[in-house]
Amino acid sequence: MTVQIVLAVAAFVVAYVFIATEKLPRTLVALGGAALMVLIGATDDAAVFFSEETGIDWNVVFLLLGMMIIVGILRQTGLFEYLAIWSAKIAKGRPFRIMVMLIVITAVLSAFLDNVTTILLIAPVSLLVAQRLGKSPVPYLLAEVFASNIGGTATLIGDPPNLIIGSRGDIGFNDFITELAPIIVVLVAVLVGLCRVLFRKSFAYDADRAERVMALDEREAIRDRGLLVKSLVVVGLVLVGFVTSTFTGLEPAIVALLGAGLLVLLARLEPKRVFGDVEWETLLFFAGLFVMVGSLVNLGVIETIGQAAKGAVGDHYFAASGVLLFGSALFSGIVDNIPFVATMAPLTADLVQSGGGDARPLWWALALGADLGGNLTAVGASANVVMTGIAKRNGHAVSFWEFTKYGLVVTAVTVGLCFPYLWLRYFLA
Amino acid sequence: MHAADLATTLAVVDRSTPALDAVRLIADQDLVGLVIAEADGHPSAVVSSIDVVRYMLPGYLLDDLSLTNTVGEVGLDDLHQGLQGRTIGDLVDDSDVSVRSVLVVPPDAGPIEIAARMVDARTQVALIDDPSRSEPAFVTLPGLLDAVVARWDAVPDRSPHADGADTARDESEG
Repeated sequence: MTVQIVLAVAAFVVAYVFIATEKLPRTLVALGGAALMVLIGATDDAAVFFSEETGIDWNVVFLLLGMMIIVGILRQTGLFEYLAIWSAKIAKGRPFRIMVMLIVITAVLSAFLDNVTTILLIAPVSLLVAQRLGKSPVPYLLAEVFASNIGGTATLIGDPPNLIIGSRGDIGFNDFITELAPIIVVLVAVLVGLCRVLFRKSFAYDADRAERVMALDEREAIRDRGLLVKSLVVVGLVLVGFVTSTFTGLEPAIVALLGAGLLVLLARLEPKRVFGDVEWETLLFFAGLFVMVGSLVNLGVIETIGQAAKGAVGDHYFAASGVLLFGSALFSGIVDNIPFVATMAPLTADLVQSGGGDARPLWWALALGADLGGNLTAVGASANVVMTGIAKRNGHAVSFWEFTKYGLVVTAVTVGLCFPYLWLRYFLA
Repeated sequence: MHAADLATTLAVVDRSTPALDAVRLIADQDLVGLVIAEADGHPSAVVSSIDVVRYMLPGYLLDDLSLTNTVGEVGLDDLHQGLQGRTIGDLVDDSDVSVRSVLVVPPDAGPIEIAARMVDARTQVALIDDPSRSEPAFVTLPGLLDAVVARWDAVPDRSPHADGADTARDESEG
């Protein structure tokens, strides 16, 4: 092992520890780690900017950027608030029915929006509805964040780890839908049942309170109907673009950027309102992370680990899927799942490449474990952190252990159900 | 013109004052802010009226302005209900509300000094440091600006009728 490899691995591990412990801003750590890799000579400008394998994965970065712009404009229409209030009124102000509607809406929205954005949109409405019901909003917020992490697993664009898996595994939008959406539909239904049991003391019905919910006027949430129509047309076109990308040859990143460009042209908003929701820090975090992991690939570290993994796995891909599923869930429940998946993706790619079609379910095990594992603790996913922050600001603090008490049950059940799903779908024959 | 010449009295609240009474006080007296006193009655802090409104509104409405119009008239009842049982002490302890130490100016401070100190402290109320007074006296920003404008108007060529625009029009007409 050369000094260069030792230094690179040390830099990677130290950066990982800083990201996991959140002692420093994660973007700062990722960019600092990337800079160290360049200084060590583990990578160079050609690899950083132009290598699809070991450089910045522009497909991921620009897909995120495009979707952030689209969602940033769409959220200004009030559509999501309209949907949430409408659902509460459809439920006739009955607490459990409202929770079911909010779970379903959150899961569906999360499949197409970033989970953090979904929570930012749905949490304020939930606080309003819970206040009108005279209930604690905490069960609603917890149910929604669980639904968000589950729903986001269903599509390529639902959760950032899926973007990395899609790009590194050359897996398209439709593949995610056909392979993961069926189990996610089941898991959302299971979540509804779990919430009925976990929050059973929160559903007492009060007719007067229900009247106050029915007094909300969802139509007032829509402030710019023109912008709403334009946004919905563009979102529809982007979804068609994603679904047909296999035939058109247009990468999802290009589809998202074209959609964002079209919506910017149609919306004619001031730049602050167009780009205000773009999380530049997140995009830079991804860039730094890709350079760090790419450097280890450059130096052959990932290949060495991959060889060891191949030796250990052999052709026992079902067992390997189980290890990947549960291991990813546990790891992602404790630390950010983005760096975890960024590191695991090249390893998984090696295994899938050598194992062929039989090893392909490893991708799904990684996606299910990493995405669903986010429900385990209050810091398991960015959406959880955002939700607890909103709850605290509104006088309903959710402690780490209170979250974990419920998160543990939800994660154990949902990840546990994925194991037989993988077996039934890919390994039974 | 000094701080002592601009002195006015203001209603002073303390930590035990109900939040609903504080809101009523602002509304009744058109106040720009509330002066908060210690237990001994000495003014120690100022909270602007907009921060009281900030405290009055639920955080989720401020997080998502699209919701503000959906709540209807019932929303006003919700605000009243939300403030019940809460006090100025709760407001002071709320990290989202900006409560500033009261600005203290000497009795002989001139208007520009008071204005500059108010801008520096970002407050619209200043306490006059005058132990000889039986009750606390303050300079408020509207009172200060009234005095400033009165001074400008007292100088003939700076009256509203002698500004540049009028002069230019007069010249063109001539």
